[in-house]
Amino acid sequence: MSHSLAYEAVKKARKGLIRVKIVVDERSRRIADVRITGDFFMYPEDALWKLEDELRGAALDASEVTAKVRRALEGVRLVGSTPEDFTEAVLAALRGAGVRE
Amino acid sequence: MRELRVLLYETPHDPYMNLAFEEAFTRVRAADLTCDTLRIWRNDRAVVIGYFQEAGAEVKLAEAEKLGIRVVRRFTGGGAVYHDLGNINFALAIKAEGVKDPISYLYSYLIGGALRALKLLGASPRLENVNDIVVNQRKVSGVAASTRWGVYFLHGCILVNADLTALAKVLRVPKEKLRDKGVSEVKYRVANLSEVLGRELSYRELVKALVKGYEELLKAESYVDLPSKEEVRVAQLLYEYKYSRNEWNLYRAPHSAFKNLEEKLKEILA
Repeated sequence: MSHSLAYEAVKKARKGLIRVKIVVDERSRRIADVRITGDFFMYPEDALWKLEDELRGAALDASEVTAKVRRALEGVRLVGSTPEDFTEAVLAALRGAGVRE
Repeated sequence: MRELRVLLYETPHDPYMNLAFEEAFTRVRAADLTCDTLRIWRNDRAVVIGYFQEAGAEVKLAEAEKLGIRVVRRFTGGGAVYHDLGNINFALAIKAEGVKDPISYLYSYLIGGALRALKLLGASPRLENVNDIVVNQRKVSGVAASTRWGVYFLHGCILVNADLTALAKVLRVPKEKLRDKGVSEVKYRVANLSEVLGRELSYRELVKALVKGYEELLKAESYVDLPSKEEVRVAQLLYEYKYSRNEWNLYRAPHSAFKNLEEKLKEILA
């Protein structure tokens, strides 16, 4: 039997939408998988996959998730969005899993 | 005087090859096997999605398939665009010295050639919200850019007389965006340049305006060229191993997922 549940959120940044899909392992209360998509601009582009890697395995804890997003986006140039937009999008998805800030 | 190479190479019937060639000419420029290049090209009935997008979230895939509209991914970020022969695409791969801010070089300076082109055609274009080109309050063009591979790359599309009904049929407009823009349907935000200017515009006219616009901006003299043998070979490899594959077009795999391809490209581009 699967113990994973998926949660989604969409955040509108000044320029672009950030869509987040997160699969949570309910037994370990950790992020099993995450996918962040949208029409934003990020430089270097492949920082997005690094951000996803960073979040995989993270505990369902708002401050841990926030710190991981900040760390992954350090030195990354966003055009029309901010690291806070990405944090908010991820936390919005996790709210469904009971994560509170 | 600086030279600007102009390529009119296009494969409208095969959007996968068109996008493969877009990456090819950029990487061949990056490897210094060609010089600064402006490419002007068209696709026939395709949706081109951004590097970070989820295909199914942006495109009504079943509807697109029914209408014979293919979905292909580009290597730059940003949103989904509808292409047909009424849409003209331009792309630049440029090397420049002493650029302090690459993002502003791309989105504030290099976009200027397209703005000049629109002025030459009689429009009064404005740049809005980073990458939208607006004429008479209607979006007629959007651009996206990258600095990957060590080259300044900018591309965009201009709606000239595209089928906006087909566009509205296949592109999903997220409700979060509608709220923001205060409009009800995608076709009311975008417009064809021919409609905005109230006259027919030919492909030739657009090509001439874009070439002149970029000649002026870059203070360069242009010459029309054919694809180099490296561009053709690189495009073939990119087509075969990436741009014709669902893994790239639909599943949002990053460039790094195509390791065998990168090995093969190294032999040409190293």
